[in-house]
Amino acid sequence: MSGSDWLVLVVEDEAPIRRFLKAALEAQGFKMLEAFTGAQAIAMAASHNPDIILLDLGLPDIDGLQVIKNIREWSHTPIIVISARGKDTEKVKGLDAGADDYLTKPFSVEELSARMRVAIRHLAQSRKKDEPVFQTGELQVDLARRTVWVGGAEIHLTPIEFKLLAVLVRHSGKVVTQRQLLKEVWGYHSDEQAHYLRNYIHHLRHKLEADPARPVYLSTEPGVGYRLKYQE
Amino acid sequence: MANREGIAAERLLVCVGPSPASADVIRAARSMAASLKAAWFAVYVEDPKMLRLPEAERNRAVYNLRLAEQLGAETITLRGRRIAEEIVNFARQRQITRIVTGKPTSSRWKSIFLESPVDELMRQSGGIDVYAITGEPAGQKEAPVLVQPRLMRLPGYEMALVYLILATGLAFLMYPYFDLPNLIMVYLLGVMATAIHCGQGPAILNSLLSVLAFDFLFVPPRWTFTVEEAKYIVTFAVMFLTAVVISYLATLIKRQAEAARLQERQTAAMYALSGELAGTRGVENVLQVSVKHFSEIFQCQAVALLPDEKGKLHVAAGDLAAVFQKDILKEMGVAQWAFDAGQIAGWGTQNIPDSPILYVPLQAVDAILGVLALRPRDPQSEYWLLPEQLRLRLLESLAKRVALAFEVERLQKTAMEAQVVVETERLRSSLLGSVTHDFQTPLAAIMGSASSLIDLQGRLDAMQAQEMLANIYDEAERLSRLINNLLDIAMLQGGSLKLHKELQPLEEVVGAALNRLEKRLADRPITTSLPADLPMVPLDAALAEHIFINLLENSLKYTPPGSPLTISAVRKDDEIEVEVADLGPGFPPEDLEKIFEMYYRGTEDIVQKGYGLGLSICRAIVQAHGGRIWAVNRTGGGAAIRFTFPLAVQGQQ
Repeated sequence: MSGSDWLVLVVEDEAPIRRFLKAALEAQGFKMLEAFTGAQAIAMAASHNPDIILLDLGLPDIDGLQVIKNIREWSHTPIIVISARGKDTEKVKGLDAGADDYLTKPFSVEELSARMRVAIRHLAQSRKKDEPVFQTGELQVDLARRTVWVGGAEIHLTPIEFKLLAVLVRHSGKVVTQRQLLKEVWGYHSDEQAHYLRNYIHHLRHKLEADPARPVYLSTEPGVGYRLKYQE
Repeated sequence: MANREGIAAERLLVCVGPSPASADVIRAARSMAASLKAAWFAVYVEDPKMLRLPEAERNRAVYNLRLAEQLGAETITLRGRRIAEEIVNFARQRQITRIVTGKPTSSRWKSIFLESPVDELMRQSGGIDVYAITGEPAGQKEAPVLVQPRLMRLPGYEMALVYLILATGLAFLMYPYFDLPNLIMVYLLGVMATAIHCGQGPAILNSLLSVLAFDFLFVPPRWTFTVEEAKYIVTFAVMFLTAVVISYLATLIKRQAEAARLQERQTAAMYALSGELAGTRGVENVLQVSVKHFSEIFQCQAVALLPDEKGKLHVAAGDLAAVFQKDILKEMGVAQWAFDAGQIAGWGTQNIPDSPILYVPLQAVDAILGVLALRPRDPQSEYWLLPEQLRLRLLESLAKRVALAFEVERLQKTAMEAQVVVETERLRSSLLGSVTHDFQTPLAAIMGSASSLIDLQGRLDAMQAQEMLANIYDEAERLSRLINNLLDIAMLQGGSLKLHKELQPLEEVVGAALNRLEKRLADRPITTSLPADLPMVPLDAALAEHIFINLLENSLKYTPPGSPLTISAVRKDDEIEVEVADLGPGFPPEDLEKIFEMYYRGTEDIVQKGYGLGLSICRAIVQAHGGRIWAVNRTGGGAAIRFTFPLAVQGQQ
């Protein structure tokens, strides 16, 4: 993966973290821009048009949520939010407002790289024509023909199960919140539906995973949402 | 007024009577007592004469007595036949040095026949000084004794006629068989019945009419008022006199019986209230119980008002709308007045009598705690018809009981809160001690490693440098885990933890935990046996995940690399039992309970730290879900922690 094309906007007010991010990203070939406040972030996003935005939610001036909403009004740039442990609601709000993924402090370079790779893949894909067939590990999903294969065996899914899987596939590698799933599959969001959602994911897991208790594809991020893990 | 030397204190006694002037005397006595710095007593003697006074005057006597009490006197009511004698005896008993009384006001004809009580007092007082004073008139205009609700009585006088007719009828029936003297008895019966049923006035009327009827109808010559023989005049006179005496006695007995009955009711009411209050815990409950009793005893709608921090009253128990109805603002104003002044106010009292609601301040030992507002449902019901003396005294003594119970509860609550604060502080400081210690090792390692890298740059070989770096990362991770645990503890202990329970499949939580620890579990065979038909469990996903993470981390710590770990679950009736087990050395058998305590260290010297906070957090989370957790040593070797989650969702979350 050549990172030399990609421009990353890092919005972080704490210097030590910025330092670490700079070292990590530049070593992987990314070009880095730095912003220290929310206002700067919005301005620089507009002026420099970065490819990826890393946004710390604990900013001194404005609420990170506002930054996301603002940027989303005119751009689809992938946004990865950085949040502290225990602030799950903050993460979920950010994701529902338009962020694509999240990192929880403290995180390692590995986790950061994983998120960046997912973001890049989706960016690259959006520039190419849509591929109808999605493949990761043993899982193969044909979005056009609506078929699912695991290790050569076809799996039969109900229409809703398939729809659910399709949403996760479209966001493969990225976390999808409950609310997003409910809206995209059922069209609306309600607390009773959350219950059904869990049921469906449960069924999906049992159909697709070799060991449902140790899911390889459908992973749950408690308090935040679900992620279809993408194996390179 | 000789100034006595030395500390020998004066003790004052003031005689309380039923006249308005008595209030002035009381006030003067108070001033006297204040200037002498003397203790003072107010004595009211209830002699049989007093019982015959009209109600309004008896009420005034009680009012005066209460005035004395409010002004700081110790009040006593004595019963006896001779006022002066009772007062002097009492004075001698209590070592009174001065007796204060009002000036004689009796009318001229009375003082000719009877010695006024004041004179008698002067005569009998012996060594005690007696002061007869005019007294201080009140600063404010004293309202006349309140208007009592009118007693709805049977038309007594009409009943007198009815009894007369009945007696006459009976006499006619007996006339052919009995002598005249026997017929008189029939009429006397009629008088007695009237006296008992209707009171003295109608009885006297009955007596008069009985004599006339007897004369007219039975004494020869019949059907005339004239009398043949003079002896019948004596008969009439005696008959009339007897009738009058009987009627008087009957009325007296009835009145006394009435008083005794009401007294008994009062006592029963107090007893019932005290009894229930004694068993009541909690400030709100005390008020609820009180409101209930007051509304039952007094047949009224009651509401309890308590002050907030600024002293403004608000409703604490009872139905505000039912009591205040439309005039909430106005009535709250009156309530506030009663609270601020500490005086009874409203309907049937001296203060603001035109309000339909009665306000009774809840007076505890040294403060007014609140106000009870009572709206009588039926102003004619028994308790509201009680003479004011009884009613107000009953109200006040009940209110005092309530206030005391309330005070006790409040003080207990304060004491408990204080204790909680002390406990929390203690726990916090001990925790702080342990935590500081646990932080220091990883920090030392990090700083040492990093500074080695910085200072010894050229002199470390690549492998050593790599080791330093690995050290830094590992110790930092350890610190991170420690902080996570502390955050959990803080949340759980703070009690501010709100569990967001949702029905989840257990495997989701297990999967998430395994996912998070993926790297560290890489070299371990992990077996999960979660039956496919395991029902969904009401769990707080994030917290439940912590349980598994902590347990897995413990197992990782205590078992050699490559040693397998198992997670299993099974349904047992209305709960799920989960087990996380390993094949390590197991727990020391004597420690199976203790390992769940915070900062428990195993008895062996283990390279890595003991169980620390992990297991106690697990316990707290399991218990918060309503489950149980315990440790066992497996029969084949190794340790297992088992815990349960209830399947039923209990109540609100």
